Amino acid sequence: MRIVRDVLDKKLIDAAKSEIGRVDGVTLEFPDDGPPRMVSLEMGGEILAARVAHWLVRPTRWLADHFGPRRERVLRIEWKHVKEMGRDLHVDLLAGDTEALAWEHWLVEHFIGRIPGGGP
Amino acid sequence: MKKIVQLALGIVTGIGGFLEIGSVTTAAQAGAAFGYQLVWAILLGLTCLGFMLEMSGRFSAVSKHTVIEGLRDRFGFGFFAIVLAGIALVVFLVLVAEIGGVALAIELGTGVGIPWWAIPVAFIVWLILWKGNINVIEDAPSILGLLAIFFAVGAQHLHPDWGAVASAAIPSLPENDKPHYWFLAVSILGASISPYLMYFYSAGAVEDKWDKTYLGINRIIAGVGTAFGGLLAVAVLICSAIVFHARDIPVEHFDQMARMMAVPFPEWGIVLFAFTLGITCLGAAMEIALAISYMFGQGLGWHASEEGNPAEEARFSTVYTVIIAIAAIPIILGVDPIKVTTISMALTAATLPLAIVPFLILMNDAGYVGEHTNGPFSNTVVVVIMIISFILAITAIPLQILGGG
Amino acid sequence: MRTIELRALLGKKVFDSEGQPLGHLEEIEAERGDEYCVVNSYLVEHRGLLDRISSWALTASMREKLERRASARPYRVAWNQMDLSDPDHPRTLVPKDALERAQ
Repeated sequence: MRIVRDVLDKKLIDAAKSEIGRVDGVTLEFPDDGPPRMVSLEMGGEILAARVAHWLVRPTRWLADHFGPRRERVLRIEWKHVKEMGRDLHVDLLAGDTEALAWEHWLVEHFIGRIPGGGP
Repeated sequence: MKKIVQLALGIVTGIGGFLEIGSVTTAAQAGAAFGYQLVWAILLGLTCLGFMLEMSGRFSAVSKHTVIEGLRDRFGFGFFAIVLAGIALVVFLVLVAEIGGVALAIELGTGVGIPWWAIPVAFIVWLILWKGNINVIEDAPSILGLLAIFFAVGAQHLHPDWGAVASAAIPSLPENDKPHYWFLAVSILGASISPYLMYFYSAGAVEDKWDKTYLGINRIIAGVGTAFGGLLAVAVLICSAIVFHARDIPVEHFDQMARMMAVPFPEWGIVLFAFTLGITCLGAAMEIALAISYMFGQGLGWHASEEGNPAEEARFSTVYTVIIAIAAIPIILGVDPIKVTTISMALTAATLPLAIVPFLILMNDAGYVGEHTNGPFSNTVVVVIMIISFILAITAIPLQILGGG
Repeated sequence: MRTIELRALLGKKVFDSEGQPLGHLEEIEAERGDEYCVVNSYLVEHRGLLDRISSWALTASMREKLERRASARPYRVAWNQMDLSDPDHPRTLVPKDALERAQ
């Protein structure tokens, strides 16, 4: 398989068939001997910013530090959770068990939920 | 049975969806300034749109994904971000124009100035998205927008020289005022070939769970809907040509355009015009707001759907809430909706390659559409029209600016 | 053991052991596994001017549609032929004539 073609930017679907997000990046491990390996998938605004232009990383980081939910800058999902590969990647986790929906919850609490009709 | 209903609704959406402030004002301005001469531009635009809508429906029915998802998937985030930024910006301007269009329609009916209506209109657009679902949003304004058929009736009442109209289907050169002619041609193309329609159509196909059995229906909806819609725009042009051009009256202001419908319909013309414009712009504003939210949601992998309640799609709902609020601001500040319309239509034509080229690559990629890739005919038609639009845009826009239009 | 993120490598210009430019690192071929995927090789593609002004993926697919001359096919650099001690400046450990060409 090819990592850029078959893994990068693919949609991640959780065990309950809902969207977790998209694969924004991938982590490669380089052991002292032996071939390198792809060990985990990454998600995060900072990663996307880096892919567009390096100078965008700092402002993105600043925004994430000052606004929105407190969460890890990069969300990592280990490769062992990937169960199926196709147009999308299916993992055996639930979106709610990861920090993938941190922004969703934060927006419901601080914005959407405060507008009539926006409550869960 | 369900398919027949969907077919009917789809065609209706196409008809009602084609007309909005962009297509109405460009057709009216074209008719007033150059008579029937620019009919070819409307026909060219609707041909390209018809092909593009059919393709986006086919893409979604076969791949079960939206065009936006396909773009990120296939080209990676770097390129996707460029497309997203460019198209979203231009489409946002169109949203401003549509909100302004509804406000304009209300001003025509009430006499109260446009800026006063910006907030109520924006609120209504937002409220329908907040409370409604995609079917209500697609269907209700489109059914009401069928009123636009009165443009066709009006054109018929004015007894146009149908022979002259038909021969205007072939492009011809204007005798004078060439920069303005080509600028209007570009604006018409930009008004017809709107990328957001493609993304919205594709999202609708996925939400309606289309599959390969819908390919035939898709072709009919895309073709018939667009054809009827385009012919209504031609009707607007005809009315304007007969009322204004024949009498050498330049159309500068919008209420003049409304008055052109008072000629075939002395009692109801202006009211019908205002109402039809208001409804079609309302529908367009909702579609654009959703299309932009879909672009972000589908591209970034959020749960992006109009089916659930807002709390289930907090990021998606936040995007359309914020952009509708921001889009109202220029109208509140008194920016002329017609000017915004003209600029946004020309910019749309200039940025068409950004939307069309990657999309065509997707449509030729068997990995996504299996055996239903584009044939050479579809590819050629779309590429040729795109190139025409682009070349006209990059030449006509500077000329118009220099000529002071 | 080092970790490198893919975005740090993608698009980087690759030179061979003699300092000759090969192209840009565009793709990684790997063997899918349960715990991790083992990298077999890197694909290094030569990009012309047209390619540089648009995304690598976009123009790669356009080129797939046209017939490609043998010299335009990407280099396949096996994992043990690539020196990534400086991820910003990847180099192969062999000269370019010793490298395989991919499809």
